[in-house]
Amino acid sequence: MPDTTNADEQTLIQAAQRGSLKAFNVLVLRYQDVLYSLTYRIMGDAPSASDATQEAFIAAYRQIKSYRGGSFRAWLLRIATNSSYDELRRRKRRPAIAFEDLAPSDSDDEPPVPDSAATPEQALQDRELNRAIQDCINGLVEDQRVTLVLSDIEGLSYQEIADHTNAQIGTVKSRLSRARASIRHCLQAVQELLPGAYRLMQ
Amino acid sequence: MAIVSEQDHELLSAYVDGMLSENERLALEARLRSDETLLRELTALYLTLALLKQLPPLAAPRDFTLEAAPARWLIFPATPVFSALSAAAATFLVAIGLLFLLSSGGQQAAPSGDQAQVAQQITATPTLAQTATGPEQFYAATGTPAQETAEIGVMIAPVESSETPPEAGAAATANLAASTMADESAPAAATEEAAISIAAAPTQEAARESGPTGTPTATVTSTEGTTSAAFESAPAALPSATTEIRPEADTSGDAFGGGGRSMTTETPAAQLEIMQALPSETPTQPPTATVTSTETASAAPTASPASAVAQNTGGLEPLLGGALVLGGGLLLGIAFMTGVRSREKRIRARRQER
Repeated sequence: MPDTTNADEQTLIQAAQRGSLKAFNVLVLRYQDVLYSLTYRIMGDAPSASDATQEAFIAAYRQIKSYRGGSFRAWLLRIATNSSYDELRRRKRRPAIAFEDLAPSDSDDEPPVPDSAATPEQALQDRELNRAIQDCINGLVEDQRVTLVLSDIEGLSYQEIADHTNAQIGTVKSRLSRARASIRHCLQAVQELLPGAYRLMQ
Repeated sequence: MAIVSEQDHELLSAYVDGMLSENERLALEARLRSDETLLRELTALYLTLALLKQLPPLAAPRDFTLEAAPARWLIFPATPVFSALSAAAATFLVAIGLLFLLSSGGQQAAPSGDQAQVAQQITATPTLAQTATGPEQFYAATGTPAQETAEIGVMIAPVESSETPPEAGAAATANLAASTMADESAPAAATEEAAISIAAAPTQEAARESGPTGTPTATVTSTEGTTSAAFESAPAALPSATTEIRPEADTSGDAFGGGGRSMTTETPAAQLEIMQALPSETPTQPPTATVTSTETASAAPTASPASAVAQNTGGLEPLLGGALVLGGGLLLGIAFMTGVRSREKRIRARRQER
């Protein structure tokens, strides 16, 4: 049914372009997980990710008339990337840290994970591993982090990443290589959390 | 752990993404067959990617649907005509602002480098004390109460420039005397009204203040009283005094426009003389009017703060104006540049979308 879905999406986009907020909200519901995932991976915490996601949808509504076809998902991801950059800049300008943020992070800040784990133990292990990986991602410098998330989590091509981040392909290649090397070194420190097959990373 | 160079890291990273050219790929694969360290590094890279890819998509913690249509941004029409007009307006405003600032800066320095002296000059506004003797003598002759004389003296204060040279001062006195004489046909009460009407709105207060001060000794010898009253009126009278000092300022008429008819009709000649006499005077030389009375000198310290404020305010006016215009120009320029940038961004985005 992909064609039907796509046709349906195009209808919704056209209605939104004519100013239908209802149609736009259907698209929001359809893509909010995608955008939230992206912003969470880039921002590293739930409140900032929520802010960036909301800003992205507001910006998308404002710019919907400039959408000229192509992948709507890619178009939204670009806007979400920009809103994440904006949010990161805003956070730099006002590095207000709430008192509770100073305490060690607990499970409350963990992103809601879809129910895929077979057992509670497995779910806990997955959760810990994911948190360790996210901590490693958070440790990357901004540009490397965005590039890594767009490439290795969202699956965008070098060209798309270059377009999203206003960078040259060579820069993308270099950022990605450094980011992957850093993640690898970071994960070596949490070997005990890795599944058996992944412990080869010596 | 064996060390792999950054260049090799980049090659491996591009290799797993299929971003190497055919030649690069073949060369790397040949090395991988013989270089175990490189091969281990490649394996680790694959595992890292696998770990990243297994990260689950997250569920949004809430609905991000919009409750109301967000306001659309006001976007400048980035047409060539608008751009050109914005640029021209910005340039014009900046130029005007700079002109204001430069001219006001020059004028501030011109009359006298010595602030104290300028303060004294403004303090000397009361040379009307001397001037006042004209009306006083006149009133003494005509029997008009001395109080009115004092008030008129105060009213005149802002009109008479502190730098009034003796001849010009004399001319002004003569003119004033003449103007007062023209009004003399009116009764004393009417003269009082005229005095109030001569003063511009802000000066009126000073006139009322000066009344009681001048009253007790407001005889022919009441120079002290008149002087102090004039000092009090100095700040209020400042705007007009400032405009008079400038030779090019032609607003003095406006400053007194709301004032008495006699002043606007009679004084121009005297003022003209004053203005002509001004530039020829050496700035360092204290105005003769200032030193004509010892009372003025003794009263000077009490008046100096007020006069200093007056001087500052006078200098600030054009400075502030210039700064405002300059700021406006810069803001417009920034807005213009932002518009251009956003336009470029939009164009680039559209190109990329295509």
